[in-house]
Amino acid sequence: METIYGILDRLLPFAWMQHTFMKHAFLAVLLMTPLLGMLGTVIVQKKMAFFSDALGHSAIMGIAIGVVFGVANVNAVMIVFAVLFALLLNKIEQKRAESADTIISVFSSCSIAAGLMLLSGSGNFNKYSGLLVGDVLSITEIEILYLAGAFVLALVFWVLGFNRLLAAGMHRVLAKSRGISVKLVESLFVVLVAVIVTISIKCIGVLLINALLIIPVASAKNIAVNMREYHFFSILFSLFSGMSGLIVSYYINAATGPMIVVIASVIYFVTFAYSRVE
Amino acid sequence: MKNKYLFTAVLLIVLTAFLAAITRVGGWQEGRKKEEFLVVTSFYPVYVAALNVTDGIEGVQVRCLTQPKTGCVHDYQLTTQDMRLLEQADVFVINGAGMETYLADVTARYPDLYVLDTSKGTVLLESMEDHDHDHAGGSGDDAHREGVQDKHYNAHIWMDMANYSVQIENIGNELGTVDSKHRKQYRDNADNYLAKVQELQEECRTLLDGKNKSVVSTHEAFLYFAQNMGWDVAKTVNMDENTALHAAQVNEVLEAVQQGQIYYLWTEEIYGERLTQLIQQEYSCKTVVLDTLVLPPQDSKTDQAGEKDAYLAGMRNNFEQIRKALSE
Repeated sequence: METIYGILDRLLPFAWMQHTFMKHAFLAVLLMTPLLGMLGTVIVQKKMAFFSDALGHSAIMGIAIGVVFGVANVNAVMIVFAVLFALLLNKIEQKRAESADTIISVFSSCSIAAGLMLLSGSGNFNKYSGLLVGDVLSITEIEILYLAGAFVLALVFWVLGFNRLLAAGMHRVLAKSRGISVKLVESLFVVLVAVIVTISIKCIGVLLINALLIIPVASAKNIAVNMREYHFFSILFSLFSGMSGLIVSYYINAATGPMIVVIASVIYFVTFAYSRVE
Repeated sequence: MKNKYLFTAVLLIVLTAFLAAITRVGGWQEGRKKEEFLVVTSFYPVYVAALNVTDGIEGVQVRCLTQPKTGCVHDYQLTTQDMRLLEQADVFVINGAGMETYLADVTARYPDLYVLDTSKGTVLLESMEDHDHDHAGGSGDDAHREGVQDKHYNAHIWMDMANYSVQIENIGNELGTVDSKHRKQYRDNADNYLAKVQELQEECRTLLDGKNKSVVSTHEAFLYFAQNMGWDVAKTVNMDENTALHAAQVNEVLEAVQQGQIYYLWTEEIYGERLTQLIQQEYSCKTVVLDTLVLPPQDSKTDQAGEKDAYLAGMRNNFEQIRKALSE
């Protein structure tokens, strides 16, 4: 870690970079936003926005379980819970296409409610309010390592599985006939989303995590014409919103997650206007 | 095709310029003069004490970590601005006794920062809060604090004037140790302020001695206040300041009032009016609205001179409220 900090100090000799907590936050955003931008392309493509929203919100339940059972490593509990929850939701979506969104809503509401109930049981939910909007100061080296791990996993998955995932998203039967194991690819994808969303929540917050999966991608969709551009713009917008949001929030002392999302939204509206004009 | 990339580049550059402009306007102020000795306090009561102890000393600056509107700091989350302030601090003055739940975070990040725990030597009451709801923070890693690992204490020690005097004493002594060239001035200031608090204590005695009553209270902080005056708190229903009134808690208050035949209820301003309404529908119990002194008085100016006497003024006001209720 020390060497990385040294490099950061040399490359970015700014006032906001002097602090260790900002270095942590910088690295986290640097790893997190491209990942969310990349995953988002498929989520938007497959119309899974609601799915990922439900997944993000259900993190509250994961936290509650961790806190109630006094598990020291709440991160691990959150990830395990999110992965199981994602697989469950995925199963529902694959089984009953008709009312899938209703059932997802039931499960996610139930999970949020139970989580809130457990956390507010002792009378003060305030302690956890940081989770709702995120807290850059809470990022430690562990989270960065988790994110780096997730980054590598996601890249490997993208290289090996993206085409299959895309094929499955376009035409399941055709994809199956081509020997693609649709269920496996989709399950792997939702697990990946679950892991990355969960790790990112500490920084962005439960309420807004989905915005980062969707908004940069939606902006990219406004101007991109092919898959390559779609990815490029999505990752670019995501990274830009993340970095500028982090730095601006540092100077004006605002919460980072909301700041990032506001910037991403501005980009969306401008690109939307551009796409109308074109 | 080319247009698109040009458009994106222009968009991002314009946004960057705009955001850069915002950060300029957004109240960004760079720290302090390097030669100054910076004392950072954790929240308002210790801030007021530290202001008095450092009063009029050249080259010593006192800054308060939390925003004045924060109030009690049980569940306070440090902001980036706080971290910047702490990074420059020479001494971090805390209330102690588990009030600063984020302390472990701070000491982990700044192991060299001198932490001045004002609760050393104070008489602590045990906390009545359950373990998930305590000041020492039940959630794993931040629970380890020197000396108070297992027990959870009621951290509102400043509400007892005797304890508050110990806190002033601690600040005076330790600041003198860390910043030894001003040792004598700290000592004199501390003595001055101690005399004022002593005077306050006398006032309290003459006003309220021999009028001991049994009360129900809605805040742990009042237990210290009652202890100081020799009053008996029959029951404390601990309502967390920032949460809405829960029906179950109101019921607890009502039951306590009824069972103990109690005529006085001590509460905070935010609950005062509603609790009074609820209770007076059924019982002839007086609500006395007291201040826990964690917020600056609303009419005070923001300059430090006006804030120096906030504790004394707040306490006097509390006495006055109680006296009024007694004489009604």
